[in-house]
Amino acid sequence: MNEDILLELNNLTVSLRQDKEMIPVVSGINMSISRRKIVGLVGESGCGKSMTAKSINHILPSIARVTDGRILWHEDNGSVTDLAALSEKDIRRRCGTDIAMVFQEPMSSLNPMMCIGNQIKEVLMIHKLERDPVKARQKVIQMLADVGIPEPELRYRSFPHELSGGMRQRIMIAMAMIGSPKLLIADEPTTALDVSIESQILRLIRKMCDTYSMSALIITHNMGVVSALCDYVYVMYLGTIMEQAPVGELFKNPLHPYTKGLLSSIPKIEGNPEFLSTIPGTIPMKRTTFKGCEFCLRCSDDIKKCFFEKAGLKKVNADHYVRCHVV
Amino acid sequence: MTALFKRCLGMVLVLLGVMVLIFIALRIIPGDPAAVLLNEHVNEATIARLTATMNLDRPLPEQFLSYLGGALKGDLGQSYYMRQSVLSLILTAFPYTLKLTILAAAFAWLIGIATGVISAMHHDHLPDYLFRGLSMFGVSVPVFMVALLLQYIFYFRLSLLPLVYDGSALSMILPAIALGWNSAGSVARLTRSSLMEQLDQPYLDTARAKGLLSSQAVLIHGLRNAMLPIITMMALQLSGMLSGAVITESVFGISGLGRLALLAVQTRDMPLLQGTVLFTAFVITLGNIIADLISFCLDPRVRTKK
Repeated sequence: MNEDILLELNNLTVSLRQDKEMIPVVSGINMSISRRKIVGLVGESGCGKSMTAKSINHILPSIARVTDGRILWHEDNGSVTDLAALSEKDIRRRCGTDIAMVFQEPMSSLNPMMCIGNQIKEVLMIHKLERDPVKARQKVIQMLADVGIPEPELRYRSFPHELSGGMRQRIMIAMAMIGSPKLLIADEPTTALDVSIESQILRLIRKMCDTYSMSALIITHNMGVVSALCDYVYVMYLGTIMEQAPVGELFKNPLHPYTKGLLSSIPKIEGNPEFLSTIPGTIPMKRTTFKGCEFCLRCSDDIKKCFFEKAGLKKVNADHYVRCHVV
Repeated sequence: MTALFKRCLGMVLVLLGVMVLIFIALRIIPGDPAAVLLNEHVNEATIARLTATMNLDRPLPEQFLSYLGGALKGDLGQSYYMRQSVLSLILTAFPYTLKLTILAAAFAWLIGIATGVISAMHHDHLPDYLFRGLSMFGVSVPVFMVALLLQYIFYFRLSLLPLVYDGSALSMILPAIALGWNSAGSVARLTRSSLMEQLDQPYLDTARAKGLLSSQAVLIHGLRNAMLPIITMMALQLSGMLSGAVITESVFGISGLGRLALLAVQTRDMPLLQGTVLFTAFVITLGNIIADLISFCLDPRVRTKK
């Protein structure tokens, strides 16, 4: 895992301002994304996954801020840049060319007043990747064809509302890919789509990563997406990484009770249709600093120690780490 | 296309309705135009003779039909007081109103949109408080007050600009500011609120993720989406200004449509009043249609729906 790293999150802490108080939603996480690898970040809604992603390319909402830690970008020449410390101008120069992003809701993430071709072309224009408008247009049409849009010349002038959800997400992917980025961040890319479209989009993301030898950070709450797409997985709960492992290892040998809960919440074909396992309770609404393990209140295996002491990250084997007292 | 045709048909109906209403209203209000026109010491016979020559002794429906027939041919009748064709009076006055309107609209929209955008982008910070206060002042202070204040400051205190309109471009500045003042305030307020609605839209995150600075994203993508209601408002303001600004024109002595209408009321000049009201209605309905057309062209969602 340590060889050939592209991006490293080092003790990253993101806090939300609430009534003049900074409340951490991502509390000191460490992650690394290797070149040409797809990394999954899994967790329930509201556990800080999107905040983690948006802190990388500085599109956090105005009430959120990176309060600690570093986001280390390993350049091709071996030097390292801390993205968290960059000015707005410098980070924007990397957005679209080094780091691209695909969002959850493709309808509202596209400008409803602008035809999709021009929205994609804008990336080329902002970064002056192509100065000739005619050539830029051709590039966009080629990219539309690559992401599987039928009749790309015709579709160039379409507006977002004229396309289906799956098409719109393909447009978002085309927009992300046109600057040939080194890292694709996909924030719940298939959550808003039909299940039948989901696998097409996942296959498309996989194909794009392979053709452009690109890394990806896939944010999802869906273990199915992880198994279909990812090489390595981080499981996050309440802003803390609970378990991390290569995807095969995690599915074969899940150790943290939260990971087990997430895995058993996937309906199985041969399983009893009357019974679907769930994780009891919900994510606490009010974030308070708590001495014990973040998950202890919903955990099925908790012991007394869980309430009074945070667990450290334990190494299980080569690439498998878990944060739990019981394991 | 059929929508446009329907709107034009609607416009004709509205104008017809306006003609009927103003025609009836002017006949109901007391006062005999023939008597007003002649001096006090004339006998009944003279008044009757004049009434007959002005066709005021005919039955009302017949009077209306002959007026309507004339209007369709472009003849709005003769002004009683000015002894000139109403249409030519309106066409002489209109260029002044047009000049005033263009300047006032340019002032109002430049200032209004710029301050609105700055307010929205710095909302709940100092520039926002400042511009919100100013725009409140803009919408709430009446035109005559603004006009008098401007005259006091720029003529009496600073001696920078002429007191009234004298034909020069310089003397049009104060009237334009006075007339545009209210519009600037309301455009600023609408721009602020409309743009604020767009600020937390996810497509702005997409724009930033593409590499646009936050300010560029707001100006290129946000403002485009925020413009629709603003454009509708601007078209209505434009037609309002074009139909004549009675107060501004009176204060600054500009012989535009507003003054013409005022004169028509003061002299009980029925054909002239009918003419100016009809012209106003025409400009306003046309402005509405143009506003619809613009938002139709701008918003792809409306375009697809047809």
